[in-house]
Amino acid sequence: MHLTREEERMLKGEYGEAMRIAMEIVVKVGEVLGADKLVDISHAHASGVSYGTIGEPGLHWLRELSSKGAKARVYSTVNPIGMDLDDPNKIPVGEQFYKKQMEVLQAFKDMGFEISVTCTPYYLRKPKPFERLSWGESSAVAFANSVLGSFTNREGGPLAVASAITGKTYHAGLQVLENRRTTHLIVHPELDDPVEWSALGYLVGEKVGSGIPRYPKPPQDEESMKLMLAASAASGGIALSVLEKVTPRGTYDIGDEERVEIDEKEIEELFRFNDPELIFHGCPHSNLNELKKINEIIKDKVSREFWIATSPKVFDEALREGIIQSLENKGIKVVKGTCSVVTPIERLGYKRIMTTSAKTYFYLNRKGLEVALVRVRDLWRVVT
Amino acid sequence: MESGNLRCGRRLITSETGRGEVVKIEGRISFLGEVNPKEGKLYDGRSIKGKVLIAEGAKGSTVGAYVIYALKYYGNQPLAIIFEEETDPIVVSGCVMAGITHGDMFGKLDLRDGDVVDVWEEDGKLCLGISKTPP
Repeated sequence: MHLTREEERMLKGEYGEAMRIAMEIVVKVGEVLGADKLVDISHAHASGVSYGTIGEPGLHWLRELSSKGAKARVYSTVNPIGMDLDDPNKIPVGEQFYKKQMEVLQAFKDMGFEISVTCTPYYLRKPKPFERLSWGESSAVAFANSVLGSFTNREGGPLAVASAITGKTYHAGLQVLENRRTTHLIVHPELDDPVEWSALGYLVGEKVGSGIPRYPKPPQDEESMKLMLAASAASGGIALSVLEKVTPRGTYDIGDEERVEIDEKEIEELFRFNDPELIFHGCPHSNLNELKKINEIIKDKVSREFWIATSPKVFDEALREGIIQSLENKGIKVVKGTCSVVTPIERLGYKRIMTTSAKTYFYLNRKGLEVALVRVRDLWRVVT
Repeated sequence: MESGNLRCGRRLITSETGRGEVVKIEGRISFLGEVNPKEGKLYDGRSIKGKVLIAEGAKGSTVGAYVIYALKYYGNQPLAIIFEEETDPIVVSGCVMAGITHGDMFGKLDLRDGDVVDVWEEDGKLCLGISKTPP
């Protein structure tokens, strides 16, 4: 791999030990993936921020880096944590977990990361087409590549941290235009509700694995796109989907495509009423539109536990517009900076869950919970 | 692999080298879910601490890098991680973080649990040689 003189010096430790460690990670991973060089990035987004996921060793590693003087060189953000950002009692995770989680956040803060605690960093700062990123949250990666036309691989937690510190990533995979070539053509019935799109994404992920699918008739609203892409990134490893007339031209190529058909029956199977103890919305995190819409759909007090997850930024916007108060008056819990995937939800005793997100469906199923999808337009019926 | 024979593969990370006992996994390993870093054991109970861990390759979650690091953190790291086929970025970043010797593309290795091998670096490659002497 070709390294510039400055990059060589970074690797030799001339910019300090933290930079050397970070550079070594980026270079080694790049070598394995056959990168010819490194490229500069404009935004790093780290996953593996929940104490529940990375544990004591992960916390230790972040602290070590931070104590060695690691500082983010580019705009850097972090994924959700395992509890509500402000109120440790909203999701009762226990004192020990709370304490440790705050230590993880402190380590990121010390390294100059913005404590965004969201899986939707594109609502904080929207990257442009062709902009290079190093993002470590699969749903955000899929949104950046597919909707915004930015270039990012699906990075592991530590690599995104290393990219933040070096300001660089390796030039391989989806950083290279030739690799952004479609492999499958998706044919599906007419869909309407955002959650139907989410179900479609889930099925496409299962069938296409880690290919690059093309949707000739993609959803038209951003919320449906977000749900669909998150689901196919979870059930498959899909980091780029081509959405006709949405994905910016020139950021992809059409390749030899295999036709994949999804029928109505397959989609319908994911929707089944299961007498839920908990209903969950906000995976990926809700934007302001979604909060407003749910606030309109649900007119009365809810009679089941209903959680909506969002980022601190959107939470504050909704607070200013009085939406949070209105939702909470109806008994809806709006949680900030966390989600059902990284919360130790199975330890809270819930067994049957309904959700608007097929990504949540995928992960909670794997934790052994009974999960079903519910359409946004049917939410009121389920919660009241 | 016959006694005295040696096989070399691609060297990715060299940290510790030396002599160790083989722990062989049939197929690919997922560090998340199949390795308990606190105990330094595979989920079938075999210890990997100080051993030469051999598998076909890796699979599974991106959190795997943190699990490899956790092995080192708890002092349970293997001497080396050797893959017969190509490795993946998650394992590479984990081994860099933890400073664990790692090589791949060795081809099919006819080794069993309990075989004793030497691990060393030579001409930029990582090499394995069967040894008769206990570690």
